[in-house]
This record gives sequence, structure tokens and C-alpha cells, in this order.
Amino acid sequence: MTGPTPHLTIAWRELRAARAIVLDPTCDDALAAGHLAAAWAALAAASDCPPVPGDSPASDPPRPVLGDSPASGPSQPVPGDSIGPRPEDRAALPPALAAAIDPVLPAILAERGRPALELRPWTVPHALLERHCDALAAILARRGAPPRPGRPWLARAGALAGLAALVVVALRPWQSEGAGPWVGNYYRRPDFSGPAVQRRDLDLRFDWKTEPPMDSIPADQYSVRWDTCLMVREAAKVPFQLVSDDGSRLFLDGELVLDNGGKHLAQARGGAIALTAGEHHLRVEYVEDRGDASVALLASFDGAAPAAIPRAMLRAPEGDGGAPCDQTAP
Amino acid sequence: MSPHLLARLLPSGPPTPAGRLCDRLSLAGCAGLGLLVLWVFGDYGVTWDEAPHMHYGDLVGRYYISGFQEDGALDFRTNYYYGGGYDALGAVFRVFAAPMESTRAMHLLGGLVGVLGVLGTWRLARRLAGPFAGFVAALLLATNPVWFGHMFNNPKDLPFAVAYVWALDALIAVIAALPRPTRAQWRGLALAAGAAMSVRIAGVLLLCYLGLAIGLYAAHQGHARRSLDAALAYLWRLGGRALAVVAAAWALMLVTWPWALQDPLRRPFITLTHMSSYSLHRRKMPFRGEDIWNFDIGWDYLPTYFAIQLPELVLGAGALGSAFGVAALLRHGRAHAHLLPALALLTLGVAIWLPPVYAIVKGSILYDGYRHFLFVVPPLTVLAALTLDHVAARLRRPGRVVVGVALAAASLDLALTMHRLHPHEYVYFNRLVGGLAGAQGRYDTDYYGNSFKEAFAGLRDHLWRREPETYLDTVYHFRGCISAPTAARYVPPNLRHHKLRRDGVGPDFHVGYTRNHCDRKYPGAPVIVEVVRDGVQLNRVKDLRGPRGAAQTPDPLENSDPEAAQ
Repeated sequence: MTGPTPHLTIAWRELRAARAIVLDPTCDDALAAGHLAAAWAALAAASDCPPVPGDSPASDPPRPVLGDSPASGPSQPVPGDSIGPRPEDRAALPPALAAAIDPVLPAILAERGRPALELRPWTVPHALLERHCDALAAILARRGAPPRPGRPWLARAGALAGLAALVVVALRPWQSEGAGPWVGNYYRRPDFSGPAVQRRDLDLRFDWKTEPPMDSIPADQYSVRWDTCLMVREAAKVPFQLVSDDGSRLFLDGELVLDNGGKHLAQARGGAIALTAGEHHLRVEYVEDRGDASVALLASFDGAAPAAIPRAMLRAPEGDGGAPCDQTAP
Repeated sequence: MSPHLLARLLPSGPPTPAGRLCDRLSLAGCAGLGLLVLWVFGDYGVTWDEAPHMHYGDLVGRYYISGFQEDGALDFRTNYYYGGGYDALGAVFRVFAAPMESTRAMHLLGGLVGVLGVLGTWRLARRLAGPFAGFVAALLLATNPVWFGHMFNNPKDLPFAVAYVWALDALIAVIAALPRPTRAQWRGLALAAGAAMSVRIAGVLLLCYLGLAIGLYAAHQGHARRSLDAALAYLWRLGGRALAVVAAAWALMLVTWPWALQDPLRRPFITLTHMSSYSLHRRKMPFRGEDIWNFDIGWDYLPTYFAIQLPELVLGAGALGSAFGVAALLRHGRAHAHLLPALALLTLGVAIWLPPVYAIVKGSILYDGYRHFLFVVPPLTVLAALTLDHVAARLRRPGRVVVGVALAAASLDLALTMHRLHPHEYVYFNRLVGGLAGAQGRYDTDYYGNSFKEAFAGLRDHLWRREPETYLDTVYHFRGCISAPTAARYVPPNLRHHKLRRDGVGPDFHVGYTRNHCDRKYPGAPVIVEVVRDGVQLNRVKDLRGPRGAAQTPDPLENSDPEAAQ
């Protein structure tokens, strides 16, 4: 980014001086006129093409820094006085700012031509003068001045990162339904009969207390069957633990290995189960009778206290057949 | 001779190469702190305040989603006295973070908000005294163990502190741009002040600071011109904009505060009156080695905790900075050239000193150390950084090197202390009291119950190690000074609260922290797990199953039952 030209620097300085006067409630607004006129003049001097529409750049005479004759019309600077915004500058302004240029410019130029000891009335409303300053600042900023210390690439990188974060949050890939490795079939009856509502669960650890597991299932007298495929890299004897209120059972490759069945309060059953390397089908059946409802399956693959089976070791089974998992060695 | 303090404040112009280096280091440090948060946020326990605030956030959401029909947020515990700004944000965050467990999600959010607080502190110090002060402030706050410990699981004091420091930064930006701050600056102040007020009504203090700054500015202009009209003209112009800020901040506060929304002008003031003489939690607590009631504390309670729980460098530099600041304001504050720096420094000082002094003078009921005044820590850290920056500027190069080395050594020492205390950083005590060991039994340490998580993990591992066969087939029951829902977040499914036991048998274990001497219950039962930091016990698990334990009854020492309190 290049710095401003000397003319633009002068324009900024004059505008700052004008603003200081306008902002001071004890100062007369008319005193700002000289600075504003100088700022407009410096801006005109910094411009490469004439501001008046229809004028040919080739035929345009050298632009005076300050016109000698005051403006006579409210809409455009008079010919010969090149002070004023270029059409493209004017077009780029918001309407409210653009509308604050022409009504003020003649008064500024008139004030500039006033003899020092002659008192003339100043009729420009204060708010309009403030907007006029804003308009001039916007035009100057459009010309690339003043230089700002910020780094545009950093702003762009920040904006891109923000946009990316917005997209990620909007899509929330981590919440995609059907991503859980446990396929749960929820039955409205306690004997796994009738139609089932199927959903995927991330872990098998629930404490529903007296609430139903989902809206379409009653709070009591229901059953759930979960299936998943467990990948074991090396043969090992692994402690498993089933804790439930009421009954639950764990099947490994179709064989009952832990039986925590019956109607009871929270009760734990566990034991070490020998697993061969490869993929195994795990099934948990759970039946809720009345009162509180909870069920959890835990295992210890690393010698620590049993915890939820790591999701990385599980995948959802495919199909409803008798051997939904690939039970071959890896 | 280096210029005086005021002449160095509110610097303008682009930063020097050294300043740019400080800025890069500060931002890199904040990014590193963010990564650290991602690494450790899962280590922290659930504090007493978290469950109610999470529920309150849900209730605020339901109030709007139900079209104002579900009005549980209007009378939920005492939470309806608080704006639900952070709680509602947490509720939204939990929705996005699912399936992450809700308290884990809140700890992540809290950690990130804490980093935002460090960033705000950096901005404020940088705005006041330049990039080096900003860097020092960020470093001092990031290595403040009490601040870091509270980042993850304090759902009201820490978010309020973060909003407070950002609002102070916005306020200083407005002051620096007087007489005509930009619209963006006014807007930023309204947003930040509204955010602070939406967490705690005490944020209304920020609007008072704004009024004070504008009043003094107008008075100075009038005095400089020897004209009352000039003062009134400035007051009229700036006061109008300030009123717009007040209105916008007030509206923002009300959005997430359904109870106050019912009577927007009166109820926030009712809350202000209520909170300034809060008396719902009456308890005994250790102070200087004696158990005292929290409504019977002396004036020295708060100053003592600030003196022993702030890092020594922040404490010393903050005290020195206060003295420097008063001297600078008295000597140079009235000079027209230093008007804006003087106003900025005065605002910072008032933001630090007014709230605690008011509480002391009023004799407010206090407990949990300076937890409720955590919001004073970031601006105090900024003042400490300003002081170090000023001192360094007055020294020659060797002296500056000494300051730098001292800063690095103090930060390293604090970082090592935090590492030792992790994840209980907030029980930090400085060397004036002999560290955590010196505070043991004499002052409140783990008042928030952060140590229960580690205690339950220790119990689980102990049982698995000692009796694996039994462990697999047994559901154990525990008792402790912790609510059943909170404990359920820590324990495995076969470890349950004794109130859920239906067979009439007593608990198998007792888990107790030091508050209310909970760890002293069942004095004869064998201790099987202890949570210890720096040689100080924070939590203790006792086995009640054997004849020694089962024969015990809870010690009559207890003066309240926190289980019943939840």
C-alpha cells in the first residue's frame, strides 16, 4: 500500500483542523470553512482528471489549488473553479453524505472569500456541516489516504478463518446423525417384539432415570437391543462389565457372555472374556421394567479401570444378518 | 529523564519495531494459551455454581422458544437475580458442541472466554501505554493461577470479569477520542457494557465511570475556557451520546434476563440493592486460622485475600502503580495537555479501587476469598503492567534488562506453580502467607469443590487395583459433600450416591473436601485416597466398609450439609 501524495496529506490535515473546530461546541462553525476550502482545494490538486462532467481531461487547463471566484450554484462547482468531488467520488458516497456536499460547498467558498474584518451570517446547520466533513473524509479515504498501519492480508486471513468457522459451525459434521457405532433398536414392549425405532448411539452408557429414552418409547416396560462390531488387534483377555437397572445381557459373536438379567435395581456383572484378534459382533439386550432406568457397558483394554469402549475400536454393523461383522483376523 | 507517567499514556502513532515484536509475541502467546485450553479443559471438576447456571441458561432459552409461556427463568433459585447473558450463551454453545458432555462443553467455553479476557487485558494495557505494557499485562494475567483456575468452571465471576475488562477497554477508547469518539467506539462501549451487565448487574458501574469521565471532561473544558456555557455545551453534546450508550447497554442486558424484562426500569435496581447486601449464603469459613461467620467479617477480609492470592509481582507493581498514579494525577492531572491520559488513568484506578472499597465500607457479606471481585484482577494487572513499563522506561539499558529478567523469572515461577497445582490452580497462595502450605487450615482453599473429580477418579482406580474381581460385580455407594447429580458426572456406573441405595445399608465410602471440614467426617475410618498439592490435602476418601469405618458416624463438627443444599 503506497502512502498519500503531499496534496492528500495536506487535505487530511486541513480536514482534521476543520473537524477540531466543528467538534468544539464553543467555536463558531464558520471558522472551519477556511480549512474545509483548503482541504477541497488540496484534494482537487491531487486529482488527475477534472471534476466537472463533460470536461475533457486532454483539454482541461492546469487545475488551480484555490479558485479565485466563489461558487455560484448549489449543484456543481462553477466552471473555472475545480473545487468539488469527482463524479465517481460522488457516486461512491452513501446518499446521506452525498447530499451534504452541494448545499455546503458554496457557503464554504463564500466564507473563504470574505474580508477578514467583515462579519457575514453563517447559515449552514451544524449537523449538515458535520456530515459534510464525513463526506470529505470518505472521499479522501477512497483515494487511499491516510495510510493505515493494518495489514490487509491479516484482515483477509481473519475474515476467511471466520467464514470457515461459520461454515463448520453451521454444518456441524461432528453431529451428523447416524455416526454412532452402536445400532440401537428400541421396542415399545419389554420382550423385543413389535416394531422398533432404530437410532445410532455413540456410547452405551445411559441413565434415563424415570424418563423415557425417546419420545416414542414409554418410560417403563420397554426393551432395547444394541449391536456393534468390535475390532481387536491382538488376542487378549478383556474384563467387561455390565451395569444396569433393570436387566441386561451381553452377547459376543452370538454367545451369551454376561448375564445381568432380571428385575433389579442398579446391579453390576462382569468378567474377563477371551477375545481373538479380528472383528467381533457385540450385542447388548436391555429390558426396563419400572422405576429408574440405566444401562452401561464398560471394558478395560489397557489395564485401567473399565470405561466406555473406545469408539475407534467400534463400527456399526452392516445388515441385519446373523453375522453382521467380519469375523476374520485383521 | 524519562517523561512522567501521564505523558506516556495513550500513545499515538504506529508502533516501533520493538513494539511490533511485542504485539506479535502477545498474540502468539494468546494463541498458545488457547491451545493450552484445548489441551487441559477436560481436567477440571464441576463447581457448585455450574449446574444451576446451566439450568438457568436452558430456562432462558425455553422462555423465548415457548413464546414466553415457559417462565421457569422468572423464579429459578436466586439465579433470576442475574442476567442470563453467559448462561444463555452456554446453552447455545452446548447445542453446537453436542455430543460433547455438557459440563465439558462449558469448561471449553469458559477456557476460551478466559483467553478472551487475556486478550482484552492486552488491548487495554496496549491502548493505555503501548505494546510492551500490553505484552506484560497479557503475560501477568495468563500466569495468574487464580485467574487461570477460574477460567474453566466459574460461570459468573469470570465471564463478568472478561466483559468488564473489554468494557473498560472500550471506555478508554472513548475517552481517548474525546470530544468526539466515533460511532463505532460508542457502539463498542454499549455492547461491552451491556454484555457485562447481562452477567452481573454490577456492570452498571461501567456506566457510572462513563458519566464520571464525561462530567470531568466537560468541567475541565469549562474551567479552561472560564465558561459555564462551554461546560454545559460539552455536557449536552457528550451526555446525549452517553445516554444512548446507557439505553443500548440496558436493552442488551434485558434480552437475556426475563425476570428484569417484566419491569425493565425497576427490577435491575432491585437486584442492585439486593446483591450489594447479599445474605443468602451464611456459612463459617476459616480466616487467619479461626472459623468466622461470613456475615461477621472485618474490613480486612478482602484486602487480606488480595494480598495473599495475587502473584507478588502483580501485587507489588499494582500497589506501586496506584501510588504513582495518584502522584501523577495530583501533579500533572490538571494540565490541559494531559487531560485525556489523566481521565484514562483515573478511570482505570476507579475501576480497580471503587468496587472493593465500597464493599468494605458497606460491610458486605463476603466469602470464597476474592472470587466475587475477580473482575478487579484484569485492570489491576493492567496497572501493574503500566507500572513496570514506566519503571523500565526510566531505567537505562542494564536496568531494563533486570526488569525483563525479573519478569521472566516471576512468570516462570508462576508457570511451574500452576503446573504443580493443576487442575486446582485457583487454590494458589503467594509467598507472603507461605504458599498453599501456609494457607492450609487458615484460609479457604478448594471452596468450589474442584478436587472431587480427582478424588472420585482416585477411588475408582483404588478399587480396581485392590479388588478387581469384586469391582466388576459390585455397585458401590458413597457419601460426600457433593450433590448426587454433580458426582454422577465423575463416577463410573457402578459407583452411586448413597441416597439412591434402597437396601438400608449405609454408604461404602465418604468423599470430602476441606470446606466446612467435610474431610474430617468419619474421623476413625481409614483414608484410602487423598488429593494433595504442595503437601496440602484438598480432598480425602474414607472407606466405611470395615468395622472401623462402619462404626463411625459423621462428626458433629459439620455445620451444614451441602448434600441437602443442592
